[in-house]
Amino acid sequence: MGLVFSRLFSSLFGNKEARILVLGLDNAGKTTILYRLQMGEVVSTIPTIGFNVETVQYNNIKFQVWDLGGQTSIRPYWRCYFPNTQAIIYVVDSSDTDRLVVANEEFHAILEEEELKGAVVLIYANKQDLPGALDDAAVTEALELHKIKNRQWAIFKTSAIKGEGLFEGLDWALRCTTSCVHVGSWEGSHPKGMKCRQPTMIQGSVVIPQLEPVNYRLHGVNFTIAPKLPFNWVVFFGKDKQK
Amino acid sequence: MFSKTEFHVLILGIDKAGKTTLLEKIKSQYSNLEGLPPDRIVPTVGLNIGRVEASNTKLVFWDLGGQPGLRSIWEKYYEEAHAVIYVVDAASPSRFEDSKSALEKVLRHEDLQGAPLLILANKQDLADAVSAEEVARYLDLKKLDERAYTFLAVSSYDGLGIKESVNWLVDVMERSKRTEMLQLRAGANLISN
Repeated sequence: MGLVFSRLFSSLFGNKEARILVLGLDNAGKTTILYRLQMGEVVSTIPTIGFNVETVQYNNIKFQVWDLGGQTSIRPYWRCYFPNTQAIIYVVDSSDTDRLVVANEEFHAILEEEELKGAVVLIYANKQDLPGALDDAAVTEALELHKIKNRQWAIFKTSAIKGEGLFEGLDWALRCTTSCVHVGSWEGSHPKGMKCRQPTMIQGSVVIPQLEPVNYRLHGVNFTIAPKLPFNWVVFFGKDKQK
Repeated sequence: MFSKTEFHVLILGIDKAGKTTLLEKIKSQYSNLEGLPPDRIVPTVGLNIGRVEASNTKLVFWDLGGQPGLRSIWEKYYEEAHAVIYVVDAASPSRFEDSKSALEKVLRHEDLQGAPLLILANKQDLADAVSAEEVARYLDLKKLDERAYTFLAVSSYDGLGIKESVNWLVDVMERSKRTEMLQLRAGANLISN
């Protein structure tokens, strides 16, 4: 599966940079999903920003994972991670019916973000292995997915523990991002003047752009905090011709 | 600012009717985006969108999943739809009954009042597909007189009938009372905001 997937990715995305955000309330199962997909190692957490972002780099796609909900003060920093996002994977704990209202609110708030308007939306109705888990139709209703009228969306029943439904969903997202048009730009700083620290994998080391280069070591990995990097325009246009 | 009118067209029909294949074919015929080839299309469990320009109008197609559990979301998209394409697999007579009852439910909904209806006898590339007339006979629809409607034979697979379908839609949507009504409502919303 891994090998097939690796080929799929490289043929779909070529040399373009793509980003998939994996979002959801805490305990929705996001990290388990990434491990299940065996995309690679989780390479970084950025504790200095005040929230943890896990980044998984797989060929030219960055999967970035963080918890929604709570801590409204750090939300502006999320925007650092928005540009060039082709897809959002929103993970819901289908068995936690008490928190579906919060999951709904956070979900629609994220969809309002200007920089994410071009991203397709994939919903994982996760934890289907638990008793009392709502099915895809019920989660669709609870999240009010019908309010989405200007972008593509799809919902898949998943069980991260059992590894079910994950590839089907991701396959949908990748297929439809390649036939969407997405144009984005980013200059490395937040519109409101906050410094953005966007981790970028460059030849195996994590580079976090800021003004002065700093070297440090974290979890046995050497990090370089490099001067602000020029971020390329990413023009995502049409789908690659089939080989 | 005067922009071209934007028409919303719903693509409905039961599962396996060929709705997404139709959408992809329309995309590849009317935009510079290449549509997905049929062999890469999987059942839709949500919403696919296609934006194209045809005859100087902007068309937005909403393709919704047709599996029984997902049909409940169709009606959430009715209010803003200018017209409906209803896709029928003309080569699967065993599913005509399901197709008929799903369509009758669509037509009864008041949010779709007066919306032009294009019924497509799809999969004409298959040898055992029946004609548009026969599909019309099978569906035997009552109370269609309050809206513009027609039956056309198409193949989403090879593109037969796609241009005629889009032309018919654009033509009736431009003249329909429903379009007028939706424009008035949009105008009223602008003023009240």
